[in-house]
Amino acid sequence: MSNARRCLSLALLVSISGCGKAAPPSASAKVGELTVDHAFAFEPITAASGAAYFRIRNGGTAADTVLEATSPVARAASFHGSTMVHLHVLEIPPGGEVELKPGALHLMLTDFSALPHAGESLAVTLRFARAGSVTLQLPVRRYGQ
Amino acid sequence: MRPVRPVRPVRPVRPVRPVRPVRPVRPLRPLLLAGLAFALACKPAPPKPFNGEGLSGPQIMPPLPKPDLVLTTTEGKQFDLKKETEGYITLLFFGYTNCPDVCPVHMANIAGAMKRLGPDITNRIKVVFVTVDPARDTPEVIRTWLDHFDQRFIGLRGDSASVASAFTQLRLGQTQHEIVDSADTSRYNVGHTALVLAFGTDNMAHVVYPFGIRQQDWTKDLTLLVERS
Repeated sequence: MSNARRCLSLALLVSISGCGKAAPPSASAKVGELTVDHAFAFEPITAASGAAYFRIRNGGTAADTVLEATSPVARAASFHGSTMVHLHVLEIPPGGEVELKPGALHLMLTDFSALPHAGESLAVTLRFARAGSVTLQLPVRRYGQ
Repeated sequence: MRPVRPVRPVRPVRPVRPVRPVRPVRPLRPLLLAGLAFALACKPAPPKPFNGEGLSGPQIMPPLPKPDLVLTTTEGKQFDLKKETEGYITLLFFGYTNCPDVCPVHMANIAGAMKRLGPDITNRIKVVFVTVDPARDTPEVIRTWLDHFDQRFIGLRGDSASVASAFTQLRLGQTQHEIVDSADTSRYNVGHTALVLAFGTDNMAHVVYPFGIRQQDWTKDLTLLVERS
């Protein structure tokens, strides 16, 4: 290997490792014209409530709506804005996207029958008006991570 | 949330007058001088203008005085906020344990910073959590929830009127209950401010922390707040 080449590969290695911490794991899935990604959940502190986040992109030409979100380990799930205002309809416009993220829009899960722990995954099923249903295994992170 | 640009202190610092050269001290004077030094040391120093340079939290003008608030700790003791936090950098946060998003994220980030900082800094900080949901947040529930983050965090609970009065004093919007499930009125969310107020040792909050402040920002800011107090 020439010196220049060695330098280049070293530089590449540095630039890769220089990116710092790898992005925390997230789940993604496709259903119909929709793509769901950046999906993860926080480890609930108590069985009372927890939060899940994801982005839904609509590649279709018609709007779609989340009719329902469910998880086998939570009694109920509902969408909330940052000030905990309950959103009854979550619409994804054609060619547009909706992103849930901490401190903003989130899926609130309540009354857990089993607490998912950090490093495990949490199953969440989203049922859409047009695209049908999709189940994601959301990686569980600790709050603050 | 984009941090508000910190407002600079209004008054420029006046240059210090040059000190007159010290005359040689005669043997009889030391006692007198010691007395003078004692008197000067005991005179309360005029409050330093707040230095918000380099802080991640936006500075607020005018600063907010610490509210009159007497509540009960998770251990059942009476807690007079002003009295108990006198001389400490005090982080005050109103929230509730059923809150899955803003509250635990704030708490986890502050706890992460407290874990990174040494006792020289953390011993001068008090983190106070006040529940806005006393109906569901029993002392035990609050303690368990706070211990998940940091056992040093102080948990307070009291009647809604006292908390509402603190909100008024701090000019924060009042909390709002929203029933999630009409069939079960015990299932509700509480809309409340997402701000963490940081009071200095002058008992004034010059800076507030909206949601989105990262752990490393807390680490830096808590150090600066302690060092400048």
